[in-house]
Amino acid sequence: MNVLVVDDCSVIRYIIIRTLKMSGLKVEEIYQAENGAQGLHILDKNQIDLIIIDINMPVMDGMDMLKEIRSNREKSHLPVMVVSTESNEKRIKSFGRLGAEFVHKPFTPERLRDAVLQITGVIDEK
Amino acid sequence: MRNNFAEEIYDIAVETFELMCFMFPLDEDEVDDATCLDQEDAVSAVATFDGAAEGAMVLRVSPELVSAIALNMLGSDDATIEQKQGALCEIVNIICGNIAPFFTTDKDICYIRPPRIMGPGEDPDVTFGMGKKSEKLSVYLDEGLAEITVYYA
Repeated sequence: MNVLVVDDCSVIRYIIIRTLKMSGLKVEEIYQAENGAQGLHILDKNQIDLIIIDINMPVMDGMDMLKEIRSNREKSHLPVMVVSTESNEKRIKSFGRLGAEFVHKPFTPERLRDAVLQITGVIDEK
Repeated sequence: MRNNFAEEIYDIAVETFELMCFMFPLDEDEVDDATCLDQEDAVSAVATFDGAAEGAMVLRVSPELVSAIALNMLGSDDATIEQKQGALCEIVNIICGNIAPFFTTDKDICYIRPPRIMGPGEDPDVTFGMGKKSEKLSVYLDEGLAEITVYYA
């Protein structure tokens, strides 16, 4: 499985990557991006199986990136996990309507791992 | 706006430090012995917000606490300056993101802007506090004192 992690904070990317590696999933390549625009560029050039994105980022935020992914015919099916401080129910539901799993910050490593396992279970079923 | 705003900010800050940094607040009887924050050396990070309310949240900590936050988040013995600053900014992002709903109305929500490290001569009361209400509180952690100020209007 190849994973794309998009967050402007390198420490959060590190925590997510560490959790992925300890989750028991067979992770082959992990790509990193600091914002949505960088993430879309990496997505365009590589075979990605799971995308984990922050919402509050400079240049292009996670919501715009998620909309771009869902409007891309070749990439629209990809599982996306949103990791954000967002607490507004309407906004959280809008992630769900776009087919994204939501993990609220602050998170425990266990919560993050469970969400990754849940969303990758969807991949295994396909 | 809620009446016990400072208490709710405190609870959110404590939860954030506990879950993200494995840092825990001192007991009440330990607080008197806690070291005060040296204002000259202190490091501050800020996140501004707009939408349903306009304002900023400033987190002010000692350099030692910045290091401890980064090392605990990374689970490492070493961290670069960029990682330390990034870790502090992320803590601000999380705390501010979780207090933003206090300002949400039926018509509008709060938008948090990406956090940044403040310059050494930058006075948050001047930069963010003019004409705004504020809430100030302290979180005494084992590793040091964290001062939080929320400016809002």
